Amino acid sequence: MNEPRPSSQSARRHDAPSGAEAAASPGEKLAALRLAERHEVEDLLRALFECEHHGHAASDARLAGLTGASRASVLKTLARASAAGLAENAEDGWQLTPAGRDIAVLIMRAHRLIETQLARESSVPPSRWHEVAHAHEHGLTRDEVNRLADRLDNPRFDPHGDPIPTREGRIPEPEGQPLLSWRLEETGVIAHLEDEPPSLFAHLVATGLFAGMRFRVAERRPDASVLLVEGRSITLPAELAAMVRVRPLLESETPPPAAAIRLSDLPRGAAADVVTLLPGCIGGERSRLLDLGFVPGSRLEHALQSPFNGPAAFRVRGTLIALRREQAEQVLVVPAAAGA
Amino acid sequence: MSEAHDIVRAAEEMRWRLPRNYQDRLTEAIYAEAARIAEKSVARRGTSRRLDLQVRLDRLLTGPWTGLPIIALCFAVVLWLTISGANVPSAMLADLLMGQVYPWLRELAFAGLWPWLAGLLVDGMYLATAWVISVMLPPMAIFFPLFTLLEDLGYLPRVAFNLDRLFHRVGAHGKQALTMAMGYGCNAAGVIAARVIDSPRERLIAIVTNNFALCNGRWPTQILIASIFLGALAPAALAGVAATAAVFGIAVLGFGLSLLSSWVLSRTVLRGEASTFSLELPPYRPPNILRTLYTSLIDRTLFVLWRAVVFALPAGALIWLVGNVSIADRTVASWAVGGLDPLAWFLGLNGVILLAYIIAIPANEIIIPTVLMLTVLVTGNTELGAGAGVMFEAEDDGVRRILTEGGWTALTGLCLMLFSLCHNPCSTTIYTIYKETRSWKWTALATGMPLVVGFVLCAAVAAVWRWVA
Repeated sequence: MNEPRPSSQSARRHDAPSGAEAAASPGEKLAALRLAERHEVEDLLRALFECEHHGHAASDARLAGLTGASRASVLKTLARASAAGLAENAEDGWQLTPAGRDIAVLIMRAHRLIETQLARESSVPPSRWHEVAHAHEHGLTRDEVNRLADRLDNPRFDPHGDPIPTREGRIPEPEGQPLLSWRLEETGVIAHLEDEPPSLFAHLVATGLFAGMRFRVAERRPDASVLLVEGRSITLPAELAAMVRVRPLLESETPPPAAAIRLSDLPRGAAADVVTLLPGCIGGERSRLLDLGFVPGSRLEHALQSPFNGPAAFRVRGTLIALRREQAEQVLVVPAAAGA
Repeated sequence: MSEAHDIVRAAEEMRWRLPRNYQDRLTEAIYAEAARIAEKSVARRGTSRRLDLQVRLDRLLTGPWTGLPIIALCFAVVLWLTISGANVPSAMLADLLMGQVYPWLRELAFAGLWPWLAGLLVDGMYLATAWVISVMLPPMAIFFPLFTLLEDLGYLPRVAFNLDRLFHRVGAHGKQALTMAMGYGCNAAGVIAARVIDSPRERLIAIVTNNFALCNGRWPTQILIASIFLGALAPAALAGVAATAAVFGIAVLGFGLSLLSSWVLSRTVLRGEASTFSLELPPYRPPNILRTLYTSLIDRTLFVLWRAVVFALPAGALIWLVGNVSIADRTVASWAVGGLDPLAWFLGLNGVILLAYIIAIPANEIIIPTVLMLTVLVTGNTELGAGAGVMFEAEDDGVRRILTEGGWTALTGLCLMLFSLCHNPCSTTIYTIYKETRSWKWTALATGMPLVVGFVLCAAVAAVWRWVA
């Protein structure tokens, strides 16, 4: 079990300050594991951290649910983690040691940063962000994670709306409440979209919901909730609604104007004023739209519609800009009164 | 010390309390301020009449019923101008380079050098290069300026706008319509034109599938073979219509294959979401004719021609060598043709065609002269040929006689047309793909994929034809 690891990567990564020269530090013990085992331990540490963060007791059954491994294998991995001094058994379940928490936070930071990078810079579809990030999160050293954060301009939240732990390992208290318990007709903000299981998450993404969007619940039925999300009505089946957490508006946030619609719903020939670009429009696409003049307050006019319901062209500040439907959906506008 | 610690701590906490989108708000505030300043200080003169004209033009050119027919018409006119307009200057160039310079060079070389070296240099390398120049230069010198003219007028972005939905469906970018249109002139230029696509994934799709746009060098082959073999299948009065329909069918098939292969690529090796599409549709402007001529001639025509010439020189030597080097009493060409015949039969072609496609890789334009040379060489019909390893062209009737004697049928003609659409790009294009992608992997895919499609298509057509006939 203690065979030397072929790669020196993790040895570099877990360079936790170790005073004793003779006794191996927890990081070094972890680095000495086989690659697959190390990944299992790291996944487990992260699951323990989630329990701790949300104030749940970390029973082996809950850990099995979170990591997707069998209970037997969770117990085996727990034994390895505790042998390495990364986790310990307390009275109400398992706990992280400081060294274990350090690694768990790093893994979470890497995962959420990679998802942010995928959302901003790649053409990987949202339903695969989690999978890709999960495959890469174990391979980055602490320095590489920090460099990635610098390059992304130290983002605070990942595309699911989750906070990204800071360099120092700090993360704010969990916020929000389940969508299902939100009061009717009160405006709130989508705080978090659960990305597991992936098949349901794909459906959730397809509805057009995105963390940071403002909403109110227009109607609640036993099987579904009807939401009004940034000028569009979305019917969310109960199993998808259960994956959504929401929070109240911050002081700096206002509800969307009552007349607001998506630019893609603007009839041909009509004019409208831009309210805002929605949160789902990120990275290069957002700056491109801003560059082209899709700025709050800009007057737009729907000028042309291409064949087969393809892109539409809008007149913005004296130029004609063609956008695909999916992009026009990311612009919230208020139609101008006729003759205005 | 502890005070500094407190400040850092406070900053850390406040960081999480900032509005989520505060960076956007900053940007938006800057833009809004810029707009306000511009509004106050920029005076606009009324240009409503011109604007009105622009709007009406746009309605017509991007209308749901008029947009697509106008695109088709536009490209039909450009291609027709290119193909028919190139005939005269091509003949003049051919007369100069092959009718006058060639005999003079030949006499000079054979007087002063060993016969084999003179043959290699003049009959091989010079002649191949002269062919490439005389058949490539005029069409390009017509097509590229016309294309640049459309670009300058502001029409091309409308083409991308109209066709974006089709390309979006197959996971590609609307601007691929432009790279394809450019590909109808020259695939190497089409590959370079893919630079206008920002997303690397969609740019690669455009590059890899560009070869399905039938380039200038292949139109004459299609037209010649269609009129000799397929036109003849129809009653004499309809021969012209049948031949035209066949060529048109091949071009449409190419467009379809390009969409199909884009779809397959974007679901396999180039998986990913269709990226965004924000395209400015510039106002229509009268083009600057002189600048158009200059840039299209220098940037596109001469650039492509130079690359073709660089590849034509060694290929010319190779073509001459296979026709003149003998192993055990048979020329290399005849060995190769014999060896390729079984595979070629399976594809509805013959060994001569396959060998021609291998050795005439520098330019699709020299396929027919090479095929004629090889056919004469293999059938031993010396009265028609111009000498071993010497490419030549003939009138339609002459070509028909040579090819029919070489055992060609309507099936051979049809399969050649298909193979001409679906085979590896010419060496100029392959090299350009490498220069653009910097990857042997993508270059290999772009080279191999059309070839595989061509093999499958030809084999299927040949099998069905033989089964029915």
